Amino acid sequence: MNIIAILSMAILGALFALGLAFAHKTLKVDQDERVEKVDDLLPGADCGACGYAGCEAMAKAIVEGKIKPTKCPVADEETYEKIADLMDISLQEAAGENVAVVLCRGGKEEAKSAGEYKGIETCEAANLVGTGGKVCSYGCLGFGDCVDVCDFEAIRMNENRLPEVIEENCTACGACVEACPRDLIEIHPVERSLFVWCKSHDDGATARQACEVACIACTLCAKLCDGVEMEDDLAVVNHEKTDTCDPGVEKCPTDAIAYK
Amino acid sequence: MQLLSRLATFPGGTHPPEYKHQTASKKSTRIPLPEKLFLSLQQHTGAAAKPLVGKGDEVLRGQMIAEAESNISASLHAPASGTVNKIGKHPLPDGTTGDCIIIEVDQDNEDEKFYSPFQKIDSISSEQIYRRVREAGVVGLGGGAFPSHVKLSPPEETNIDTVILNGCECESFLTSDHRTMLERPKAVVNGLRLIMKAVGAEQGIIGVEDNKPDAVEELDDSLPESENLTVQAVEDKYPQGVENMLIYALTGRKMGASLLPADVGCVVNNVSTAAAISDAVLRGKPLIERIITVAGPAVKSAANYTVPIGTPFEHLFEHCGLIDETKLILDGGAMMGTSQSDLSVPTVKATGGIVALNQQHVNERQEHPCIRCARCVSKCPQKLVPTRLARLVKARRYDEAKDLHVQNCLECGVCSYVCPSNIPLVHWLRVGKEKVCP
Ligand code: SF4
Ligand code: SF4
Ligand code: SF4
Repeated sequence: MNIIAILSMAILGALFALGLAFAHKTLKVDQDERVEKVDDLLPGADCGACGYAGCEAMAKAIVEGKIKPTKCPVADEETYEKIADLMDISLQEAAGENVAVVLCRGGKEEAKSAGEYKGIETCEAANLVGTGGKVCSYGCLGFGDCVDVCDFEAIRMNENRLPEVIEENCTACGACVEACPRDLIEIHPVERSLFVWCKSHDDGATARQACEVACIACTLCAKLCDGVEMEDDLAVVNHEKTDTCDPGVEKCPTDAIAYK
Repeated sequence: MQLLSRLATFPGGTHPPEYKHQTASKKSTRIPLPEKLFLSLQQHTGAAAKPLVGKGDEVLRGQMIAEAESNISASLHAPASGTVNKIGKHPLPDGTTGDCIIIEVDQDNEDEKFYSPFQKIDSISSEQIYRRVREAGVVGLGGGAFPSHVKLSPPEETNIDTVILNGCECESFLTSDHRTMLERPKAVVNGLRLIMKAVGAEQGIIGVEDNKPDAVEELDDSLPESENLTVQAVEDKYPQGVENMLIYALTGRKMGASLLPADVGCVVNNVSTAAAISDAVLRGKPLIERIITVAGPAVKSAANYTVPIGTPFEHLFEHCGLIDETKLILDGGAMMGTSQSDLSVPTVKATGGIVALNQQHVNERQEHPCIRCARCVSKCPQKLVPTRLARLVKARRYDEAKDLHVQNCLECGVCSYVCPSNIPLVHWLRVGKEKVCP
């Protein structure tokens, strides 16, 4: 009697085990095994300071290349190195990250005001009313929608009413890029430093009237370097090509093209 | 019975002060031409027109200078003879900077190049009306600037029985439509008959707000003996001139938010548009000028001017004068006008008036929290819940705003106007619309 009970239990157990083994083989979600390893290396504090739900989520994001290991404020240099090794990248690459860049330097000092703006104080709302306060219809509106949407306190308004990116905090999540109604924010590798800090397509004379630091389409930089191209009265940097030549930023009459 | 009958209107709406007395009795006059005219290639709904002239070309008054390449677009004609100075960017009244054909006006050249006029309405085919209106670049002059020929060829499956002319002019300060009805009633009526012919409608109604009894009378006198053509006074209430409000008031037909006037058998045009259509067909004159009201407490001598399209605002103010304490200049009336920061902007086809206000007339009262009085809700002609929508948009909850139909907002400004807490509701709704249907 006992025997039957034991046997049937054993058979049942074996059947379930088989089922489990089968499920493990066929229903397994393929997870990059590096996720687990990175997770092991991370401090395991699950503090969420990186912006992810916990260390495991952060590990997954690291492996997917969405965030750099250095974004973990708890881990130390050694850990960063170990993770970089595991990911088979150099620590420079691991640290070399993308950050947001705000491509307008016409603050309240430099850009001419078009009159008093009395509407709702968000960029989105100001953008719907004429030129939104400044003469330039391309430039920063200065109400900080980008600041509002940033979850990492990585962007703040300075005294000149221009947003400033705090690169250490920036995770390149792109929320500010989305929020800016003037499309002034771009995500670039942190080491990239040459930019045209203006997005105005106004012709030279109009742009000069509107703002002291506007690109006035004089084409000097474009003539000096293949990596700068003129697009509809605005110089645009082609970052693939600027390694080979020097656009002579010191010659730019308005400092519109400059290093970061 | 007579005692009980009330003037036709729509539910909701409000009645802001009209301020029309300043110009309502001022006959439209002409002023000397400006030195330069700035003709935006994009002054209508739809695709920009393609320039047909280049720098240095001589143009004649009435000559086509830019052509509509697609159906929803409108051609442009030189409003005065002269030389093309350049084609370049220039600030526009909507706050953008856009491509303009800039004409240096030759003050002495009186030559014109109009189309050949048709003689009799009865002998013109609907196809001919359509083609002429299209080549003459006529657009809706009530503010929408929708190409008129498109309205003249409604989709096959619709059955238009009624043409409505909108003579409400419910915006404060503006009297340009009023003047058109008084000074050119025949042109308005002919325009109505031409539109009816083009769309094959049997009935024509001109709806005029009852604050303009003189216009009702003038038009009545100009109507041919026919039961199918009527002038009807509607209640003087804002925004009575919106298509669906007017259709409801005059025919009782309800237009859902997603419907077009054609879906309820109607075509609605502004009275000034009708006059322009009549000019195009019966005089061969393209849309090159219109009546514009320049008024407001900051204007020294308010007036109605017949001005060529593309006249800089500053040129108009040179003639009527602005007081030094001018606070706000609007393209359009006080409810829906857009504020201007640069007076070199030119008038466009849809500019019916320019209003200049002083400090006293600009509301700078402080915003307070919503007190849930629901005035905005009861007055919204579109039956929206502005207070809720504004809160959703503020919280960036755009999906919910969409579910509550933020996209149906007319931007009429009634909600902001009636709100005792001075909440800029219509501005929030505009942000929401922009997010939900850019
Ligand atoms: S969202 Fe754009 S316009 Fe607004 S403050 Fe930021 S950069 Fe300027
Ligand atoms: S919500 Fe829109 S349609 Fe309704 S009253 Fe306000 S502006 Fe007018
Ligand atoms: S009118 Fe103003 S105070 Fe009244 S419910 Fe609407 S938003 Fe609130």
